[in-house]
Amino acid sequence: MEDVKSVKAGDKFGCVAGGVGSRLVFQRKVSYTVPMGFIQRQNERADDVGAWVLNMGLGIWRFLHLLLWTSRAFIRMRWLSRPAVTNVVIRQIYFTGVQSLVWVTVMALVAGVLAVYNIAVFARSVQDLSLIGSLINTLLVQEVAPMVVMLFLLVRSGVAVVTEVGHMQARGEDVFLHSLGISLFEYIYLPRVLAFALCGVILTFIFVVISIWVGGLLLSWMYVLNFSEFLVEVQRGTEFKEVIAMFLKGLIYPSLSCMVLIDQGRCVGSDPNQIPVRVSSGVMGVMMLILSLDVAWVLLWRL
Amino acid sequence: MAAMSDALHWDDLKLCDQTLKKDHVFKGESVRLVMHEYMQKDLLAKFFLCPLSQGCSSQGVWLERDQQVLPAGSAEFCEHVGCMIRQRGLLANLSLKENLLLPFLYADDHASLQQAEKDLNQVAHFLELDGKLNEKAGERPVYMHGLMSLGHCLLKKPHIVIAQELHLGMQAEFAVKFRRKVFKTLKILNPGVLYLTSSKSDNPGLAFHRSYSVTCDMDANMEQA
Repeated sequence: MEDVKSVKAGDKFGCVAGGVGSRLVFQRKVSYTVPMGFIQRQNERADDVGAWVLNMGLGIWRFLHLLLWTSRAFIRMRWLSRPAVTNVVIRQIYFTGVQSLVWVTVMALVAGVLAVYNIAVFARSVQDLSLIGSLINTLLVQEVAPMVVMLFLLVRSGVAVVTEVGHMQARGEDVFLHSLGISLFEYIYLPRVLAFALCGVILTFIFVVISIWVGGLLLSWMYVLNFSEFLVEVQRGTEFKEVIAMFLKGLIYPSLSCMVLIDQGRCVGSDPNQIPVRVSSGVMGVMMLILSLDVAWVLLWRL
Repeated sequence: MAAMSDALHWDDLKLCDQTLKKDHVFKGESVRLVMHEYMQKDLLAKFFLCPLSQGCSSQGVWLERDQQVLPAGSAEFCEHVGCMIRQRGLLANLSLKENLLLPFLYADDHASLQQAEKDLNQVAHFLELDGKLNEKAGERPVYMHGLMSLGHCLLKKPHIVIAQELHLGMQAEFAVKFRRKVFKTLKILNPGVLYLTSSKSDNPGLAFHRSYSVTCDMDANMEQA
């Protein structure tokens, strides 16, 4: 057995106790740990905090780089005259928007109509019909609709975006596209962000219209409220800036979320095993982003 | 020796833990670099990734053409430098025709797109892809990736071709067929060829003017393993 000459704090070593006079009959193995010093523990913690801060900084820089170059590609408008890019934009809009239409309609018929119905019943129970318009605008138009549509886009198309971009990275298709003189920002990222932004606005609008319209019909069918009376109340409680807020949320949330997802896909590198890891961190990142954006939005809106 | 123009140049390049010495490839000459696959990827990234238009500084690689200096990664550089990366010749979600025309559909140059569309049938015939052009690419064998890379070169007519051990992973009969097509193409285009391989014994049949071997710690580790 080797002699242990010196032991530093934190080192682990084993000790074998053998029977006296026997031929290597080992009875038990005991492991000792020398307690680490306070300074060493603090150093390790400082290392962890430092690594975390650096990673955060790097992540923010990466995201801003993506945002900057994708916005630049959009503003330059050269993508409009490139058939290769417009084809991808159309495909992405079809996949993200057109194919989602049925699902958004179903969600609006279930969640949206229920929300409208409950609001109207509540307003009637407190005998203040003027609440219908303001509650529908505050809850449904500004909060529920953008959030539900965003979550739907995240589940349906967001996961596909991370997987697609991640696979491209793992297969080395980024170098292949660059070798053909094709910019990834213009050909891969911009069409996806555009599709998310455009479909986010349109699907949010459709969700709101279906919810209010069918909700009003349901109320009149259930003899809760006359349809025209309902529409008058909705119109009375609607302010122009709230409609603008809905469109802005429908535009900003999906486009920023798409960029977070693309950023996660870009982090896959050459290891395909990273794809599921990046998908889950992308989804969690988007959820956190939406929640923080919503809080920031409410605070700014109040100013 | 070819004229001083139409040459791919690079300064001393840091690859892995080694330095690739400053050199060049003229139009019509062939140079071989034997290096680990990881270093090949690094080198390809230095040639094509992170172009100047995205805020990166020059990485010491450029194409000299008609007294003009085209920095690596720029659109003009990619226009004149063909690339045949192993197993990377097509995108799965496009048709074979779209794949072949992709650089021209992107380039925002109507005249070159029209020319490429004119040449497409001839190229497809040479590659034995007539009748298959409208098929969706999907997952294809290495041979098809090689053919598409060759197709891009035939349509683009580059001055320099960077090739990465294309026949690796191909079935023997396809490798022979592919090699024949590559020879014909190189004979027609007469470009400068920079051939990247990880094996010293790998010679696709080209008469190399120069051949360099660059080894890094990774190779030594692999040999030990």
